[in-house]
Amino acid sequence: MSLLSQWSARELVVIGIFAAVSKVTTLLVALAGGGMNPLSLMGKNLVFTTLLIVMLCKVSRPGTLTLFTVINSIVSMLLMGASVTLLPPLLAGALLGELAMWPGRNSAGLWPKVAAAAVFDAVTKALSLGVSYLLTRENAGMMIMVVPFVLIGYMGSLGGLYTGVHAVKELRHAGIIRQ
Amino acid sequence: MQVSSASRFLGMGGSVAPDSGYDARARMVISLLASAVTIIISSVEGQLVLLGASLFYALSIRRFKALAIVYLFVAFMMGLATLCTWGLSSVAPFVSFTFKGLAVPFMRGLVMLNVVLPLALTCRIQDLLTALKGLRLPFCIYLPGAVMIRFIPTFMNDIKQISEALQIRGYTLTLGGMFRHPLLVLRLLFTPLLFRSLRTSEELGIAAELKGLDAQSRFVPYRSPVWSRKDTFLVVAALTVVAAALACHYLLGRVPAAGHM
Repeated sequence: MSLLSQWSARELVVIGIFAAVSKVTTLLVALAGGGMNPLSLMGKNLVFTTLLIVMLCKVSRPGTLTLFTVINSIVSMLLMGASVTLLPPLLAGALLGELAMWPGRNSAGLWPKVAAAAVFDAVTKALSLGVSYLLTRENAGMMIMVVPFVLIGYMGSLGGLYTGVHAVKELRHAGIIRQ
Repeated sequence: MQVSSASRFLGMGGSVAPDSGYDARARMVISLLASAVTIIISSVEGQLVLLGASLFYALSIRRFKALAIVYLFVAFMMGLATLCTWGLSSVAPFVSFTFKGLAVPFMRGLVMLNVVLPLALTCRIQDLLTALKGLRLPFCIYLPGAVMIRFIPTFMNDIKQISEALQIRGYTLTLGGMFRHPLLVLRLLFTPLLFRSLRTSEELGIAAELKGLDAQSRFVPYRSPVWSRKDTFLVVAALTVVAAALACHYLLGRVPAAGHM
């Protein structure tokens, strides 16, 4: 079985659905909060991380995080005008997240997935600061405004780890996630 | 095994945009090209070339009202950012408040807006799916990508339905409410959406397996993408603009802005 054909159609559909949900909810939370308010910034990161953990538990296979990131990036770049510069941080985050999940790849436990999501969030947030610098390099002082926003967003991601664990426990209890 | 079509399996809907006249792939190429070039160019002169050409491209779809609304929103956001930078520069002297330092990042945003709007406003979901298929991506990327594009409008509608259901039960979702009870709002909106998405993925996954979709499937597109001479002309024109912008950047404006770079 080749690396690219290890996922079944059902698993690929789950990845696509979660990519769509994460895109829609983060966009709506951001818009409902009026763009750059700290609360909506935290909220959208919290929702994204929660969805990521649920998806990783639903499709428990090495490479899922990377595939999710690649699909999200391709669709965002081709259809939503996202910058190509966002791809390297996201890919680096996904690959390091996979690495964090690797020791527990065969276990049905929740913690390898939480570790992967935590590493993914931390790495992408750190590297996105570099991308922000690239975009505002003509006025590097603007980075002072960017750093707090990224930190606030990261706090939301940390909250998402907590809510993600609870959501998966509830979904397992309800029999929706069977592993 | 030959299956009818992944697009047919996905059940096309939401055809609200008019026919754009250009292949969606041509518009995608322009969007990708713009996102790369606008990062490279850091001079006002080069950005002005990109901005002018991209504005002409955006105006060519003749959706003036939509364009005006988006521009007004962006102008408001940029005004806020300018105000913040001015405030910061008066407190912290190392934050420069110069025309050039602010204009280039803003122009980058406007260029991207100008190239994404024609794609968003003129391409149907069917066109995007056909274009995605035309890119000959591996099955494991094509199927989730197609599902994602197809279900974004569906989930937006789901959220609308959930908020209507909440209103019936006496919860009014307002901006003020989001500030006062953010966790409650998240729980009320997010939990039903999570369950709905899990149910949709289960149903759609079973349907995909029953229809025999897998990596070995040979897809027959619902409608074959057609790359016409007009599309080639559009891409060549975009490449010419990029060359002109790069020339302007290197010949006229290659002066480090505000002491940076």
